Amino acid sequence: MKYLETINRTIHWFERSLIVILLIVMVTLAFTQVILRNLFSFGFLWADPLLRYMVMWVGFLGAVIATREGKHFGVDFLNRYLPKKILHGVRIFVNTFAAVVSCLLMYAAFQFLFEAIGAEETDLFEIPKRFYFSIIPIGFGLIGLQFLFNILKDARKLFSPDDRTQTPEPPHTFF
Amino acid sequence: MEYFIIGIILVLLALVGAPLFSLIGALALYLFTVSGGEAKFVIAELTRLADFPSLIAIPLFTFAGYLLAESKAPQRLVNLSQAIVGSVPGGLAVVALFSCAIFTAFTGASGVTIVALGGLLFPIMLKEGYPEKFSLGLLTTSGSLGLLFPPSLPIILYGLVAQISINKLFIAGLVPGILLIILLALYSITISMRSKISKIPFEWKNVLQTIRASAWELPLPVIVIGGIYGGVFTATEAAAVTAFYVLVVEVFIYKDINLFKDVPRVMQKSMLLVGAIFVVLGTALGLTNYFIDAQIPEQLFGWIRQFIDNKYTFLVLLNCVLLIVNMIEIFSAIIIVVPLIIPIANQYGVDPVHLGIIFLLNLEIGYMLPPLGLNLFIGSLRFERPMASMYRVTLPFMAILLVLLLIVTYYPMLSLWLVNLLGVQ
Amino acid sequence: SQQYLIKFATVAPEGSTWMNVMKEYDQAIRKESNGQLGFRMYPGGVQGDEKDLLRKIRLGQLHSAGVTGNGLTTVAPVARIMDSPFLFKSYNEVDNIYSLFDKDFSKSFSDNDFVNLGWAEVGFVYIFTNTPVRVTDDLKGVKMWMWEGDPIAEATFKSIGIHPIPLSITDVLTSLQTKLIDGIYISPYAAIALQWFSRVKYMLDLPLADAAGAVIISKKKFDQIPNNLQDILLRNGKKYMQKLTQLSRQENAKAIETLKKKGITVLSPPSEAAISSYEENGKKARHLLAGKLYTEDLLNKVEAAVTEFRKKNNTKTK
Ligand code: NA
Ligand code: NA
Repeated sequence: MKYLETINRTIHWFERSLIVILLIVMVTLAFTQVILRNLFSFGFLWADPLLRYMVMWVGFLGAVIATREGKHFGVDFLNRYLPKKILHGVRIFVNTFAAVVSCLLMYAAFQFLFEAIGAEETDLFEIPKRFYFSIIPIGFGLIGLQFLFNILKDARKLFSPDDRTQTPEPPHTFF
Repeated sequence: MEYFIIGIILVLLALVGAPLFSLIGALALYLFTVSGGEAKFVIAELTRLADFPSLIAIPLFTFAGYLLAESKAPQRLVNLSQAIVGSVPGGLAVVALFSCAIFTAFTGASGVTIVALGGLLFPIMLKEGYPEKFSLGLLTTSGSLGLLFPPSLPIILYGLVAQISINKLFIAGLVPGILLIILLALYSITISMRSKISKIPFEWKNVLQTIRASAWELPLPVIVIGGIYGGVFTATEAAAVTAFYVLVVEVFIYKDINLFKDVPRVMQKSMLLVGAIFVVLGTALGLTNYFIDAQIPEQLFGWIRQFIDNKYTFLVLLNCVLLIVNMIEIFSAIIIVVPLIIPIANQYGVDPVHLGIIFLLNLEIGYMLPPLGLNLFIGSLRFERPMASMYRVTLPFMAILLVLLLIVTYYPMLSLWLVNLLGVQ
Repeated sequence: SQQYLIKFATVAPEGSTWMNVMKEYDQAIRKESNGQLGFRMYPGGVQGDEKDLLRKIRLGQLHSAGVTGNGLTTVAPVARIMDSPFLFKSYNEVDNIYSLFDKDFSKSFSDNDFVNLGWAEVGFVYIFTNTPVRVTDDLKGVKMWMWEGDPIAEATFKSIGIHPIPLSITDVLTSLQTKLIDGIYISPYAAIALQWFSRVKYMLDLPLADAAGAVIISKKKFDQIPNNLQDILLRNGKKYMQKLTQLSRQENAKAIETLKKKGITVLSPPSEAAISSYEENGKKARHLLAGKLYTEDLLNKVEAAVTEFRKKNNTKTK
């Protein structure tokens, strides 16, 4: 159990750092681009496409964090009326479903990457396109993994005799 | 029969809180597979996101909005507007409307307006003698006001999914958006006249002081909104300027936010929202691709045409459908429904920009529609009132929104004349 | 019932000449095959741009697409010789080369696992700018757009001595607005359809190139179709795409008149020497690309054929 938690925390640390780095670069680069365009009628050609790839990366990494914190968009109308113990059971079931779907999407993304995009196709800075799009299977994979960690967390709570954990917040409140 | 069972299972999963993206993803995977396709088709559309010109606006605006919400900007905004119009009857209510509209436009209607501004304004309104029900209703409604103004995230998202110019949508939303605020302001003033409200005496000293306090934030709406309406900035550029400017001002000038302690946390929090949107967007594009592939919009149109032969009947039906759909989930509603509706609306001769404004207004109503409206949840949590009472207090405001929806639906020119006048591309 | 359904997609919108002729083509093959063969069509870019369409063909979601030079670069690189800058002066010259080198082009399609159902030309493309351009030197200060990943445009503008700015089609209009670019090349008809004309002032009345286009089908799908139906598909493809080409040419000629009415100033190169200068640069660019898309040998043959055809025709008219 303990080493699983270490793995989870290490992955999380990497995700968080990558998000911070990516976002700093995005804000700076996008702003520089506006200044260059408007004041000097000039712009880096690679900036816009690079920024769009970065949005994909930051988006998937953000989605992994959303999974970790249980804040994906969802309805969860019934959950408000369920007793805590049953709720943990329901959440294990729901997270298993989500984990399976995420893994299927990861598999689909790998298939796409290898069949639709040629190994020789490159984009900005002569870097293979497959690299830029690799975040799709990696992202879905990490999301699936995170659901798995969530399942373990709920399982532990389900079987622990003394449950003092709080009822989880509704998933789509973003503050 | 099989479809029916699958449908029931998915609805049940949704009701017990399965993430929406997993439901959409599962449906897309299932539909493609049973129709002789393959799982990998679902991903092809996701990669097209890398071609959307305005994609970058989404994380930048979201980040800037979260920074603003975490800073003391809401307090400064309230102080300033109170100093200016606090002495007018209903002044504070109008202040709430305006500041919430601007704040929502910048923070992307993710609920932060109610939390940040509503939480500030509610005690002040009660203290000045506004009825509690009215104040609750007003602040809950205001949580999604400003959806029609730049640089609102739902507009950007709509433009992205519908593949129409975001600048056009920004211009189109201006008149209906202002009209909505005027209608709500008139109602607020009427209520205020009936209640005994203590007034804040007008003092130039206060005005100057509050202006000085927010001197660095005041130019932002002017630069961004003015820049977009003036044709100087594209939506993407406005996003870049906003994010950079807010970061510098809040961290280095006001020092409300600590670069090392707070910024990484806010970045993570805001990208969480972007991520949640992103996976819904990604899987929904896959599902849409199935609909397109199976020519569902054409079939749907053929079916609807048997019952509806004119544009306006279609629009009424559309509004009913949208209100129901929006109740389920707002951001996702845009992403899933828009690509289905656009081709059908097109057949009925509805302008996609006009459709966008109708859609966004529906969205705004959807935020407060019982039983699942997002604003109702957040309001109930923030103001510590039971859900049931939230339904009641928002009723009069919802009525006003519905009236405006009717006007906007039946007078396309309300949305389109400024677009045509300015010749925006 | 229909046994052989071909899923076809294009960026051309519903109601365009392109789609209208495609529909006639579909009607014709359905009739001749007694309903065994037919297209299911996805117009208006609902399946994505050309890059997306080719990806979907590789995945097997689509079978067929209408593509222009951008897509042809990977589908039949040799055929891109037809997009060469300043190679043709009239459509007769174009038609002559298509018929003479049909075998070479077909082989290129086949090598990349595609079959060409018919050439559907986009037509002559012209240079549009915001500063007056008459001679090649006028282009030096222009921030010229090039279609992302198009080797021909890149070579052409580099040989003239300017560095074009690669952007995807979707970014062009905004980039004209933000002044990131102030020069574009496009067919007059498309300039109107895409609204690009609204952000430029001048058109150089000298065809930059004859933009090729084709309706292609994946070899995998094509090979599943029985021979007699393949024949129906190919024969009608050729017939209707020829019709489409003729219609496009007429529409492009009409579009130039419309552009003039909409306030675009049409400029001509001032002298024979000025035209020669463009042609010299074009030749340089064509040879720069030899070995990459097509062989030097083929290029020489094509150039010789054009010269010969031109000589023959001039003597005829004289
Ligand atoms: Na752009
Ligand atoms: Na777009």
